[in-house]
This record gives sequence, C-alpha cells and structure tokens, in this order.
Amino acid sequence: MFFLLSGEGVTDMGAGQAGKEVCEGEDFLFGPMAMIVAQIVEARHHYSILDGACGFVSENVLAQRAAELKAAKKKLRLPGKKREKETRYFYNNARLLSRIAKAEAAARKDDVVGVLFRDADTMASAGRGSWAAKRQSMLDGFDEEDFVKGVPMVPKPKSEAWLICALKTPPYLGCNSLEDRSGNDASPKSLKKELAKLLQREITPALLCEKVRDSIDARRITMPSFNAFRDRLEEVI
Amino acid sequence: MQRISRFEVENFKSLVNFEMNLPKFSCLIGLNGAGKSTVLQFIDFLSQLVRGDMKQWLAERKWKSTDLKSKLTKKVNIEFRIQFRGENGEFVGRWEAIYNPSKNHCTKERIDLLDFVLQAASGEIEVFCVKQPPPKGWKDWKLPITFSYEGSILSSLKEDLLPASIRECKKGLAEIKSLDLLAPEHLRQRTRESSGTLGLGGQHLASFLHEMSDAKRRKMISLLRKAYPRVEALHARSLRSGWKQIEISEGYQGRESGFFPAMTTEARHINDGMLRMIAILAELQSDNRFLLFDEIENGINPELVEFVTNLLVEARQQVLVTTHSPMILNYLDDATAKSGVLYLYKTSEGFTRSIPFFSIPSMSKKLRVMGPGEAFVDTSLMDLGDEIVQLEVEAE
Repeated sequence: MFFLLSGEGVTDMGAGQAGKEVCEGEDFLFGPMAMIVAQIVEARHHYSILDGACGFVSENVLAQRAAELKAAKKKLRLPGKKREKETRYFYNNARLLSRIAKAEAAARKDDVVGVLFRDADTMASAGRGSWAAKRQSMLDGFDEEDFVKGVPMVPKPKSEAWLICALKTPPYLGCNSLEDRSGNDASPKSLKKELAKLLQREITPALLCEKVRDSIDARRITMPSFNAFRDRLEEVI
Repeated sequence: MQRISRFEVENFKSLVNFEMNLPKFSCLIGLNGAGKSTVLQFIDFLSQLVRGDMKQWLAERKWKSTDLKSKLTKKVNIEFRIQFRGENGEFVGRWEAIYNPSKNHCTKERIDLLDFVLQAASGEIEVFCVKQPPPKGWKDWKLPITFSYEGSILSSLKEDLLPASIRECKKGLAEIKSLDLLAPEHLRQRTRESSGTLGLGGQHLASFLHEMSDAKRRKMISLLRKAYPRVEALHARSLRSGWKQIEISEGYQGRESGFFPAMTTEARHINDGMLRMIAILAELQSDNRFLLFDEIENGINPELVEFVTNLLVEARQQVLVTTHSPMILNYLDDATAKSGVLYLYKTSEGFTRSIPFFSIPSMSKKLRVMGPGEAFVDTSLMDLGDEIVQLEVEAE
C-alpha cells in the first residue's frame, strides 16, 4: 500500500521538489502532519510509511492540473439547499488528488491511499462555511472520481489546534473547545501564538516534526475533527 | 485609441472618496445596492459633461440636479480625477474637475495631456503647450469665460480652437455609451431618428439600425446568426412619415417545401433576449469607444453566454459590464478574471468601495482550482467583508 499525501505547506504535510508531480524519498521533506498519518498507519501495520511507502503532491501540482476541471465551464456545481457555499475548493482539490492517486495506483499496480490536508479555515478568512460541509465535499470529490481510498484531513480550525491538544498540560484532555477558537493568526489569542508559547520557541517545520516524533502520540488526540480524520484513515487501511 | 484607465471621485451618490482602476474589459460584481449601477452612471455622467446639456440628461434619467451629490456627506460639489492611457497602456493624460450640481457645470477643471494643458477656473480659460518647442503655428491663449455653459467647458468650445490631443480626448469621452437602463419595451419602439446613438434604455434602436452602413449591418447579421442560426435578415423597415420598425426574417423547414415563405416578425413580437442581443451587437458595431452594460446576462439564455462574453472581452472598444451571473464569470479566462472582475461593496458608512475580486487572498486561492464563476458562486459575499476589512487593516 502506497500513501499519497497532499497539504498546504511545510508546517503541515511538508514540501516537495519543484517540477515533480509526485515527490518521493529525498524529494519529499515531510512535515508534522505527514508524521501523524505515519503514526496512525504504523500502529495498525507496524511499519513506517515514511520509509519509502509515501509520496507528496504539492498544492501547486494540484492547481496545475485544475485546468482539466475548469475546462468544463458549463458544469457549474451550484450551491443550494443540498450544498453549502465555501466547499468547492475542498471538492476540487479532492477530485484533483483522486486523479493523480488513481494514475499512481495503476502505475504501481498497488493500492494507493490519498490523504488530503486542508485547514478548515484555509481561506485566510476564519469562519466562512462549516467544517462538516467542507470535509464532506472532499468525500464528494473523491466519490465523483470513483476514488475509494481518499481521506480528508481537515483540522478545525487549523492544524495548530491538534498539536496544542497533544502538547498542552494536561495533554489530550478537554480539547474540543480548541475547535471553537478563531483560526485567524492576527487575533491576539491566535492558535499559532499559543502553540509558539507552548513550545517556548519560534515555530519551525523541523521543531514541529521533532515534537510529533518525541512528544506526541497521535492515537491519543481526541477532537471531533481529528477523530473524523483518524476513523476514515483507519477505515481505508 | 485612448481609454479611461482609472478614476477617483468624491461625492457622486455613494462614490465618496472612491477610486477604481479600469482595464480594457471590466466586470463589476457585488451585492444589490453595492454601487455597481452608480459606477456606470458616473461614467455616463463624465461623458455627458463633455457633451453638455446636463438638464436634458437629468430629465432623461428623471433625476434632479441635487440627486447627483452624495447624501452621505455635507459637501456640495462633486470632484473627480480621470486618468487616460493609450493602446499599449502608456500614460496619456488626466482630467480633473470640480462640478457644481446647482450650477450644472464644472467650476474648475484642468486637462493635462503630454503636449497641452487646458484649464478653466475663476472665469478664465487658458490653453497652453507644455512641449518645447511648441508645434508650428501654435500660440498659447487665454480668454475670459463670457458665456454660460453646462457640463465641462469642453462642451462649449469650438473644436478648431483646441489642439488635436485635447480634441481627441474630448471625442473619447463623448463616445462613451451607457446602456444601463436597457429594456425590451424601449428596444421595440418604432422610432424616427436616432441622432446616431441609442438611448439609455435602448431607445431609437430601429433608426440606429436604419442609419447603419451596409457593411456594418452585414457584419452584425452574421454575428446574430451565430447566436440565432434561423435568422436570415434583420431590417429596419421604413414606415410612413419617417417611422422605422425592426423586423427579422427567419427560415424554417416549411419554407423548403414551398408552403411557407421566410417568417417575418416585427419588433413587437421579437423575444426579449434577441432584442437585447441586437442592441449589444449594434453597439459593438458602432463608433462608440467605451460601452457600458448593466446586468449583461438579462434575457440571454445560457447557451449564448459564452458567445456574448467572448464578444465583449474581445471587443475593440473598452467595455464595462455588471453581472450577477456565475456563468458569465465562468467564461472569462483566469487572466481576464484577475484584472477585470471588480468587486464592489459598501463600508459601514455607506460608501462604495472596489477591489479586484481575485486579489482577495481567499478568492485567489479558489481561482487556482476552479473557474471564476464557480469561485464567485461558492463564496458567501455577506461574509467576505470580514476578510476585506482585515486586508485594509493590514494595509494600514
């Protein structure tokens, strides 16, 4: 089983070598969220996907493939009673990752699991649209492309909340309220500032990876948005 | 051909301390009441200033002169500054003026072009050359304003008094055409003469078509056929006493069997969408340089949206439209959408503001993976204000 991970940047899934659609091995500089995916898989299968069983697809690569979807200009997916606004971004990214994952599965003659990471408030605009609708629209996007092993990884409001849950004192307990916090980094009580305070240092991708490796047990994080991610991941592996 | 590339306006209806850059094609979007039509009205107002006859213009819109100024400020005058650019984006000049609504004219104005300056203030008008040496035969001049006029001083000066660049600038402004009240009932009217232009609501369409050159009319019919393949001819038929009436002929299968001639329909019975399309095509064939259409999608069936959008984006004229239609937006390519889709919104004080829609970070991010129309329809515009306020705070 091969894992295809896609995220927004170095502080979540990681980064890849420019110019490649799927970055593997040394071309993939994995981030803290990739390590969390790895921990959950390892707990079940007793091997680390970071040792050659995963690849990375950048946000840019997905955007480059987006022309395929944009070409169908008449096919507007309209919001309405059955579909909320502020979900299309998640839906389209899921469709694009599905296409790459299916091609990868065919090339490798192996099962490919696609994990798509996006902060619920990824739009630099805290609070627009509901978390549940955004996550569901990723599932709809995987479904639209007949990709059965797609996993939405959508922290509410953003990945810092999950990390704070694991690093605060006492850890792993009473984390639900973190999901109601503002995702706006400019706010005085922003999650980013709180995480930096907990770490007592400036946040860097390397520091976050070190913390996930040494101090976090992903299986113990309990928050609705994390549980939804973990349950779905465990379902497809 | 020069175009308006930017304008700043103070105190015109909801346009208070308002500024906007205008590319060759722009599309205004925003909630009802955000000020989209006001922008169209302001540009039409500019054009009327150089044509003069402000009272007639106000009467046509059923406005009083006091309706022009903002009700949100105590200021009396309307002030503006317009920037012109050439075909390749090069700076051509600017026009700034103070308009007094109760006097119906600009009490102070200045046109700065690369070679000449015209200024009118304190009862005196002056035209001088800023190029050294001045063109052969040119003499700078100064005159007292001993006559009354409406709008801009340009509306009342004999053209041969003016240097070529200022004449050209005036012509560009006069050839702005706003169809912000386009309505089928006006388009259907029989008319006598068009004075070479359509009314705000599309009045005089029949005469306008009648006066059109054969070459232009042929071009127009060939375009109309792309939208409506059954159309064989479009006439402006002369009736008694100089009245003109629009008619179209369409060919259906019955004609081939010899039983029916081509079906001719007069304007009264032509469908609204086709009439609107005829008006848009007629304007695109006209000599006007800047075309403004409010709610361009009205009456246009979804099959024709791509056709209309492409026509407007590729027009030789500068074009400004307003729309609520995600379909129209979805047929813009990403580059046109980034430069041309301008979002209008109101501040808490009620002032209209504009921002290029896809310069808003969340919208720019959406545009990377979806079409412009999809991004528009997927966005809660009511909540977008919070993000814009945050951008303004960061900018400060």
